Amino acid sequence: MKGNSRDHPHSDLERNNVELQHAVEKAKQIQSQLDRQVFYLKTLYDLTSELSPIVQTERLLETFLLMTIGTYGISQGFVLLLNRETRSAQVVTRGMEKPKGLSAEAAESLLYQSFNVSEDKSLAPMTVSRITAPELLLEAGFDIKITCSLMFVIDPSLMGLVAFGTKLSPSPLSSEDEGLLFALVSNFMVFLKTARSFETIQTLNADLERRNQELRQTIAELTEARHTITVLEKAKNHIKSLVQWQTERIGRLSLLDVILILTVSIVVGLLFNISSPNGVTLLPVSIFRQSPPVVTVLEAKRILDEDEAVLVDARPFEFYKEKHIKEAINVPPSLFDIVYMMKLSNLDPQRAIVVYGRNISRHYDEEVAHRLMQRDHQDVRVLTGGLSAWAKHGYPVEQ
Amino acid sequence: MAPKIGNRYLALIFRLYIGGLFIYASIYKINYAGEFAETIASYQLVPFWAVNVLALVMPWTELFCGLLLVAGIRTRSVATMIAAMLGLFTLALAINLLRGAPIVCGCFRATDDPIGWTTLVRDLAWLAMTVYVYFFDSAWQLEKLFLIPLEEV
Amino acid sequence: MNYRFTCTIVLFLAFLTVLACEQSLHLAGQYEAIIPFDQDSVVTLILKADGKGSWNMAEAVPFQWEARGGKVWLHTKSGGLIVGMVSETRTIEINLPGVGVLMFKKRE
Repeated sequence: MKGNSRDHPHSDLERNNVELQHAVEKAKQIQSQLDRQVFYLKTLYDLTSELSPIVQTERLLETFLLMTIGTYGISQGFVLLLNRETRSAQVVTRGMEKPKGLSAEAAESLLYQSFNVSEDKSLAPMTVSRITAPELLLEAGFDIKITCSLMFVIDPSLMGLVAFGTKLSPSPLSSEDEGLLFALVSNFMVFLKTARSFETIQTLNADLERRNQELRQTIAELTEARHTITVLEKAKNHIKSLVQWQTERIGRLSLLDVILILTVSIVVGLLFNISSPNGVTLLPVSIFRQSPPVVTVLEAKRILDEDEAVLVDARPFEFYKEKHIKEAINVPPSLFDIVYMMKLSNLDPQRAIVVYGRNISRHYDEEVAHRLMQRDHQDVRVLTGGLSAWAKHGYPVEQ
Repeated sequence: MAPKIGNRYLALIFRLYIGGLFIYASIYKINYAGEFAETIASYQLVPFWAVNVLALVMPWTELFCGLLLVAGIRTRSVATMIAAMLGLFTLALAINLLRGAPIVCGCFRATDDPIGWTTLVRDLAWLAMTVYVYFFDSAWQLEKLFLIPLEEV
Repeated sequence: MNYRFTCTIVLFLAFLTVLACEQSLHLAGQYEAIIPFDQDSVVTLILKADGKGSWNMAEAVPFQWEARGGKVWLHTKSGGLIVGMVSETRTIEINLPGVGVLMFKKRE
């Protein structure tokens, strides 16, 4: 038994060695797998930490595309995102031209076709699915040599496509690589969803701000309108009270109207008098003149009896005709020039003239006496007391 | 005040008549203020310093009152003024009739007929018409044409 | 309302027009009369077409005149009024208070 065991140690060792080598080999494999897992996890971590501070969809798309093609060493690729709510399509490319004139409708059509050729044919939210016939992307105008293309659905209103070109190294994408790609895209969708929510909030905020602005403007306009209304209201009340006052005045006697008419009459009358050729003096001239000399009834009677004087009745003809001192000549001031010319022009200027006739309203005697003196009669006298004093003395009058 | 008793169209006729009368009466006096002053003086009622002023102002008052009455503006105020003037004229006439003064009316021009009791009655009739206008006039008032639309505002 | 207003105004204006009676211009001219108590003296009456006129003897006394229904009215500056009757024989008869009747004959 001992000899046997001595004979076989080498083979045991060899066997152990082989087993050990296998184990080492396996350990290496496991190590390699672990390394890859670590790399994947690190890639995921890096993408997450890169994307997490970004809230704009456009930048998210760019960053994602940049990091992904960097990770896999891919030369070209693109991301297409369609928002069916806002009817907008966004395309971000790397290492290739953007297709020209890709409308939302065209993007939707492309997505519909992609859905038809996708593996899962599912529109469930937050799903990623491989596109089995990537040629249709070329037909849509994307100039790319595709190695992998995926369709992702964030929700029924937000979905998109991711496509990658050939790798720089000749090795193809492994199944693990593709698994990582699915994981990356899933992760990316979470950020897109967040970004969309953020943008929605921003839009809502902007909308709110605009509405606020509109509201402020409306309030300002309303305030102004209220001010205008207040002013108009005041004016209306003022006009109304004026109209009421005027209307009330129509129906009743108003002292104001009487005063107004009288004032206008006085002003117009005086102005007209100034311009009229038939104007009169405002006050009788006799007020401002020295009164002519007077003669008493007795003295007048004496000089008349001695035929030393002429007697003039200065009152209007109607009064003269009714009653006058005997032998008096009627020379009223209103016709003085004509009557004087016809009856007294031949009178001796030295001869005495006795004038009488006045009442409360007119001093006819003074007016005539003054005019006689103006015509160079030296001795013109006014009879004190006039006709009534004469008659009281019982001297002759004619009726 | 009681439109049922008075007739607004009769009042209108009176208003136009009295208004026209005053316009007509004022024209001559405005043109020949000197002659009107002589007429006022012949009534022997106005102090001598006031005669000319009265002769200048009164015809214009007659004219404005006449115009306003015809147009129907401030009818009551104007009718009152015209009634006051007619009242004064009538009083002056009455005093001079009692005095037996040999004067002419001078109501329209310097050479009217001598005053008499008929003149007094005529003046009283005009006064009555004016009083009628005061109480019953409401038709064809120019003033209302302008004020009614404003009332509706 | 406007119709009434217009009617009132038109009637009123027509009324004023009638009031402003026309001057009878055919009366204008020169007239002469002999003074009743002094047969040697002659008074000349000048009526101008513009409504002015003068009473002429030793001097000329101006006045304004107007024709009113067969009569001629002379208005003196000092408020006097002389009324003359116009006859068909182109004579103006003036009864001047205190002087007497003057027959003015038109001089051709």
